Parts: sequence; C-alpha cells; structure tokens
Amino acid sequence: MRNKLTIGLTLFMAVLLMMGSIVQAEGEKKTIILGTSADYAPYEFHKEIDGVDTIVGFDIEIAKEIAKDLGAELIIKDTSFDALLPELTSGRVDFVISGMNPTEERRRSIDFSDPYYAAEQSVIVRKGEEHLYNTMEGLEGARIGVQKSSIQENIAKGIPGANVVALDKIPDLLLQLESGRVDAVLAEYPIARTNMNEETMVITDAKPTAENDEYAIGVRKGNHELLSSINQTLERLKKDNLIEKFVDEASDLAAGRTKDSLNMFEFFWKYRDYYMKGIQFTLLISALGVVFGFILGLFIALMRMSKVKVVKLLATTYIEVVRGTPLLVQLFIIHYSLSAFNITFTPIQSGILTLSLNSAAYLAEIFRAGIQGVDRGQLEAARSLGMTKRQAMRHIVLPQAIKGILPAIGNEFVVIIKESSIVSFIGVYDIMYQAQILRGSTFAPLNPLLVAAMIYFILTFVLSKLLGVWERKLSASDNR
Amino acid sequence: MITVKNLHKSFGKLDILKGIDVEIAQGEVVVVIGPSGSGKSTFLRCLNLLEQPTSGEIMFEGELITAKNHNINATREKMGMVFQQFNLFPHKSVLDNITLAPMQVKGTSRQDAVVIAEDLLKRVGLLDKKDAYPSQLSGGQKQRIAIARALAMQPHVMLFDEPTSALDPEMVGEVLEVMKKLAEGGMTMVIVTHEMGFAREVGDRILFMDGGKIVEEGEPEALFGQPQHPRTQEFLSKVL
Repeated sequence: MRNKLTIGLTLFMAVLLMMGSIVQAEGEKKTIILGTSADYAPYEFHKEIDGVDTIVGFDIEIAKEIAKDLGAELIIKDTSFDALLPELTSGRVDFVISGMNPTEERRRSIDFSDPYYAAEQSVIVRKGEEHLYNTMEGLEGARIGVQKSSIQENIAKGIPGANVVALDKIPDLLLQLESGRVDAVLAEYPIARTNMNEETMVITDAKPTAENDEYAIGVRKGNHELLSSINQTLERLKKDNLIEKFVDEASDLAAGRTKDSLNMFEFFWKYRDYYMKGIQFTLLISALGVVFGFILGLFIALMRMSKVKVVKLLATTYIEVVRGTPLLVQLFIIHYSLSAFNITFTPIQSGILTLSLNSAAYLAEIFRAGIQGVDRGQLEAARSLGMTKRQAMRHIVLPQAIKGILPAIGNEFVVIIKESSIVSFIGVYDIMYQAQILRGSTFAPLNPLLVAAMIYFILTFVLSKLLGVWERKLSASDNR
Repeated sequence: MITVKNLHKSFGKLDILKGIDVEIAQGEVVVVIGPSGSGKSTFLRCLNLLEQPTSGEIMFEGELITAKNHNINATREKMGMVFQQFNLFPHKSVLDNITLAPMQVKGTSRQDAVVIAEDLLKRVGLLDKKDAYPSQLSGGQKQRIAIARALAMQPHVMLFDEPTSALDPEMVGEVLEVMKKLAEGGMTMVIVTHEMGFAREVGDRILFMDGGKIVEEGEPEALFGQPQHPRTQEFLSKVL
C-alpha cells in the first residue's frame, strides 16, 4: 500500500508542476500584469462585450497605454481589493490600478506614481431624505456605509458620532441604503453616479473633503524603472486630455447597463456561461482537494498510529495545527507568504494544495477512528492466514474501516465543496468568484448569490445522495 | 513437527505461561484442556506468534520461528488457525473469504483458488452458501467456513482456539464433525476446547494445563480414566 501512496503523492506533485509549467510558458512572452479589483465602475468593471466577459473601465484604458509604451502585452488579474497589496508585494502582479488612493499607510508597503485622477466625494441618501444630509454636520451621528479600506472609510470615521459600516462592494452598500440599514453612503462622484438607483436615491449637496482624494498607480517598492515609465505615460495622457476622455467613455459604458428584473432561474440562464465555468473550477478544486486529502489523510492516520514516537508526534502536530488555524489563513500563507521563499503557486495550485492539506487533517482523524473501530480479531485472522500487515490492512481492515466511516467522509466531502468557495479570495474562477463578478457587472443585489447558493446546494445534495447509494451497496454485506 | 522449549509469556507483571515444553508429532491430534485462565489460548496463540513469547523457543518443521529475523508470514501460511469468534471477513462473500489468502499470499490464480474453495465448501457441506455473506450464516456455518478458509492455504498443522465455545449447543455437533473428519484425514491438529467427549474421542494426546504450566499429559483413556495429578482430578470431576 505504501507504493500506492507514493504513486499518489508523486501524481499530486506532478499535477502541481504541470500547472506551474503552463504558467511559466505564458511568462515567456513579454508581459506586464495588472492587478485590479474589477467591481468599481467606471474605474474597472466586468462587462459583456460581443458576448465575451471583459474587464473594462478607464483605469484599464490607462493600463493599456502603459503596456503599449512598454511594448508589453497586458495581462489583467482580478482579485478582491484587499488582496491587491499582497498580490503586488509578493510579485504576482507588476502594478496596481484600481481606484487606489496613495495613503500614507499604503506608501509604507508600496510606491505610487504621480496622481492620474482626482475625484470629488459625494453623499448618497434615500430620495426624500436629502434635506437631512445636505451638510456634513447633518451626517453626525448617522449610520454611514463605505467601502472597506477606502478613503471614504477614513472620512466617515472622522465624522463625530458616525456609525461606520464598511463592506467590500459598492452594490452591497447601496442595498444597505435601500433597505434602511445605513442612512448614507459615501462614495466618490463617478462611482456614485454610475451605481446608484436614480429612482430611489439622490446625491446631496454635502461635500466631504478628503485629506487625499487623488488616485495613483501602485508598483512594488524600489521598482523605479517601471515607475518612471508609468509617470511618462501619465504625463502624455494628461497632456492630451486623454484621461478625461477615458473617464467619460467608461461612465457611458457603465451607465448603459440594463436593470433587468429577472427571477433567479432567468438570471441563471442568462449568465449560465459564468456559472458553468465556475462549477468547473469548483468541482476541479474540490475533487482534487478531496482525492489528495483522502490519500494524505490516510497516510497521516497510519503515521499517527505508528509505534515510532517521532512519526506519531509529527502526525499529531500536523493534525492539531491544521485543525486549530482558519482555512483562510492557511490559504493566504500558502498563496502569498510562501512566495517570500520563492515558492509561488498559481491560484488554482494554492487552492488545491490548501484544501488537500486542510481536509487531510480532518480525514486523518476520521480514518483513525475507523481503523480503531475494526475488531482486532479481523487483523488476527488475516495475519494467521499468512498475510503481511500491509495486505491485512489493505484487504481486511481498511475496507471495513472506510465502510464504517463513510457517512463521516461524505460529510467531509460536502464540507470541502462548500469551503472551496474561499478560493475566490485569491482569484480562482470558482462559483463564488463568478457570483462576485456578476454582482459587480449586473448590479443585481440578490440573484448572483442566490444562484450560487442554489448551485452549491445542488452539488452537495447530489453528492450526499450518491454517497448514500454507495453506502447502501457496501452494507449489502451486513443486512442483518 | 513442533517443538516448544521453556516457553514463557507475560503481559506486564502478569505471568500467563510459566515454562511450557511440548513436542507435537506429524499427524498427531493434541487436545489442550484446563480451567479458564490456565493459559491454553495464550499457548496456542504463541505457536503462530499471534502472541510474541516473552522467552523460550518454538521450532516448526526444523525452523526456529522465535528467532528475531524469522519471516513469520511464511510460517503462518503452513499453520491454519480457527478462532472462537470465527473472525470471518464480513465485507467479503463466503467464496472471497476463502480465496483471498491463497490469491494474495501464495499468488494462486483466482480460477485455481475458486476450485480449491469450492472443493473445501463441499467438504464442510456449505457449497450452496458460497455467494452468501457471513452475516447471513448461522454460527455453526460461520465456523465451518472459517475452517475451510484456513484449509485453503493447505496448512501442515491446524490450530483451533475454542472453536465451539461461541456456538449455540445445537450447532456444536456440525463443527466437531468437520474437525473429526479432518483428524481422520491425518491432519496435525492442536485444539483448545472444553468438549471433553470430543477430546476423548478424537485426541491422540491430551494436555492438561493449569496456572501456566502443563500439569499432566497422556493418552485420552489414561488421562480421563486415571488422572494422576490432584489438579487434573479436581478439574475432571467438575467438568465430566
């Protein structure tokens, strides 16, 4: 059996290496990678253009100009806003344009270009309540929604008595405003204009002043060559008034949205391509995570039951550490922190690796319980027939152990499918990620997530049922 | 065939076997009797090293199987064992229970293993159960299958560890019948049992164990008829 385990682990490594080499092959052309959080129309957002999901916006237009001046091909990497800085510092992206303000805090970890755009801040409130919030003083003591880690968050925190609600996405904030959970949303004018529902919301006359309301392009600290090239490009664009033109074009593009009132199933059908792609990634990552987790977990369980103390301690430590730390932290360590030691994985590799390593710990404990639950006489009978310990384990003990713990394993598989949604954080195009894209591009508050929930439910429900059938088939041997 | 010299076995501070010396000849049927806790089962389980002896030597067919570098798996192929609790493999059919070891251990082809298995099933009178699972069988049937499973390895000696103790009374007979036929066929057997009638009828030699030692041994007629040692007399007076 050890041979099979070795083969399994080798296979695991091979798959990882293979996926690594695909990325390397891409790296042979001269490319420059842009990091952006494409949920911020009109700066950067997803838009279906000629039937293809495309990331557009005036930030993207600027990035294209920068790439053109460098003579490089532009690759766009879409991640959450919070992940942009680690993506940049870990070297996964070369520069960041994402409606980012060059705050002092950010300047500590990255360098910024000259500002390329300055926008006014505005206050959005429910229609009919604008008289209450026409001055900044009116906002004192109000519940104010802002985008997390944004300049507006700092402004809001400076308003006396304000109750600040910070969320990731602008559509979420507007939904909170619409449902009365916040009184006002702080956003800058182009964003506000593009995203708000003009029938129910209005921009007040209050004018928040920001300590810094300019936007700049982020590069890795010390990357002077790229920085000066970017600044030259910006100078050219400003001189030709191209940035204003890009802003106008992008706003038009974003405002041309259609506010369909689709039900969940119509929504799914309309955007099925997104979800189908997401299902593929979710299934791929979960399946590989489960398979490797299963193999690794079995291996760890056997180590845990070893008579050699060091081996046993190693396995026990692994299980305790993995079970005692959050999956998200493990994912970020593998994806971002390991790059400090020049170990870099693609998002898919990191996702599979994290899920495998995580589920292995849980499965190891399940396996151990199962193996210990098999009557000792079974092992004795097998050994008395001349079978080696390995043969006895493989043919007699493990099949019975696995049968006994099948419901627990099935449960773990279902958990992995659900938990795999966490990989959307590092930019794996799974179901959750697709739902986030659709939220940014369609402005639909509920449907993208409802459909995602429905898909996750169907996947886990079908899996549970299939496991039930398998379990019944296995228990044909003890129908007492 | 089997030579046991000064065999000791202790579990922690508890001494179970306190020096066993015994010689078992080819074709001999040796029955071990004695009160509970006398070390009968431990002695039997030491013979194929399911229990590792604390000290002492066991020779089997000229090989010292208690030697450190001895390959016990090869020896166990030649020593069939039948357990009190049957220990059939519940996840495998009767046929697979019997064919598994020959195929895995000896590398017998499935075809050949099935021929052997069906022949043995015929001998124990259970050919019609070959596709059944252990849970569908009665206790007596299970034990007959367990005997067939051990015989499928074509062992040179069979060890029986209280084979009828877990059976309902009406099923004891069918199992003893199979064992009797086996003895008549010339199989070397070591049997731990409480079935005194069977011991007397089938045994070539009886070992009476008490307190981790062989207190008395002899032919059945002598041992059952005129037991010499007071412990033997006391035990027999209680069970007969």
